Amino acid sequence: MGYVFDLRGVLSGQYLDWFVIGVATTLALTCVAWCLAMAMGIILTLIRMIPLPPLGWFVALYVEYHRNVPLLVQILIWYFGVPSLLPRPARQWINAHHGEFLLAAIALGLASAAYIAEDIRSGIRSIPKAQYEAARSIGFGYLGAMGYVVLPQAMRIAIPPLINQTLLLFKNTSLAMAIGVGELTYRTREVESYTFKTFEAFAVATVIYLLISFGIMALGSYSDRRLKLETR
Amino acid sequence: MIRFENVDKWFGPMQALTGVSGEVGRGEVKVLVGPSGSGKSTLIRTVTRLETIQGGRVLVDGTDIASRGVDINRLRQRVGFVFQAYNLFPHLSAIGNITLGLTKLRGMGKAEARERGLAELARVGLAEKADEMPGRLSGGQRQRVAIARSLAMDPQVMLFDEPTSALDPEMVGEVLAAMKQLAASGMTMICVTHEMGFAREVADEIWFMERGAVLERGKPAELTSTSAHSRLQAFLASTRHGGSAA
Repeated sequence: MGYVFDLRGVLSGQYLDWFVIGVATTLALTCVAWCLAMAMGIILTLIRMIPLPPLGWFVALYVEYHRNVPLLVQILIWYFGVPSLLPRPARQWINAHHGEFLLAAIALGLASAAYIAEDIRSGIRSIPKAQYEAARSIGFGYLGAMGYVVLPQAMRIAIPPLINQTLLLFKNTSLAMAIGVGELTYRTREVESYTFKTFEAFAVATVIYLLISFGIMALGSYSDRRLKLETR
Repeated sequence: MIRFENVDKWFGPMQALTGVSGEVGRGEVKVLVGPSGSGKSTLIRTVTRLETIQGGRVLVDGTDIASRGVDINRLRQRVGFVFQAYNLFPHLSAIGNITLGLTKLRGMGKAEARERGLAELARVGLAEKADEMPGRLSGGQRQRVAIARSLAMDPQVMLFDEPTSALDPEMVGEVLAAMKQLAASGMTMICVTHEMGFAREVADEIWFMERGAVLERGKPAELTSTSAHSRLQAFLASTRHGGSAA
């Protein structure tokens, strides 16, 4: 074989810089997409609770589309399709401002929101109706009862599945390389093609992905323990 | 204060209340007794529109609660409701349960609300438990926090839906004590309960309900004295619970 495994080559000079930029981009993409996903997930959940059938159909359609169309296809649609629908100045602005990052974040965030909405919904379903009733009997309206009593409990119950979604979202950011976002996987490919150190380059990427995943899990189980509700 | 006029309530094909009428005056304590499924809980739930009615009227302070101009959320602030299962909010501390309505509905400042909440907790003997989470309180303590939560909103009436039925026997006394104290302070109360000792001591009148109607009403002494031949007597004799409390 004669292959010498040597990390020094890929972890020095400009290659190290590329990894650092890649990690930073991956984390930024995860954060932006996550915020969008949570906001959209909560909005979808609230829309679905309004007792108007067309709204329910809209959310169901949204969820089914984002869960059943491959994420890569969704990303490509956002990158190649959506900008062409925009007026010319908007398109130019997107091209001048790393549009691929923004569009990837939107695609990842919206897809993740479909799953998050489902998780929050099952959280809400697990809260006894008596809690809603107790809030109403104090004098809260529908929104107050949901906002101050039901949702805060539902979100706590939804923490474990939400951590799972966060992990998936984090790993899925690697798909953004397909539209040229310079995240970790993209940078790893670059290092690999410059150095021909295939195993080293991907070993570094693997370890980084693992470490960040463990970090997310640790953060998640910490908040789960901190916020867990003591019930009977 | 509260008037029921020919109240009818249906759950699908099942009639839960059949032409119930009655009046609860200011400062009065009425105790509702009867077998399960007789409509006691349903009746008091109609007062705050936790149950809607299909016939008749329920009036609070002379206003029909089903009429258009009534802001139900405002009305509910004036009518305290204590549930059998306490229904404390498990994500908030004891004091947090009490101040939620004060800060969000009454617009009270945090400090003022806390002070008010502490006063209410002291009234039910739980000032030192203010910052405990409900999960760490006993059943009796939780129910007393629930009572304090209702009282903090300055209700004109308190409704109790079997407040001691979910409690272990040794905790019943502390909740009843809080209720007795409340009655002594002049609060208007309607209590659904099987605690006949409590009924005898504080009730101005007992309503005995069966199959969605009030069959008998009267002063506790009249209805429960051994010489009386009331339907209530028969009910009490038939239940071990009533027998042991008598």
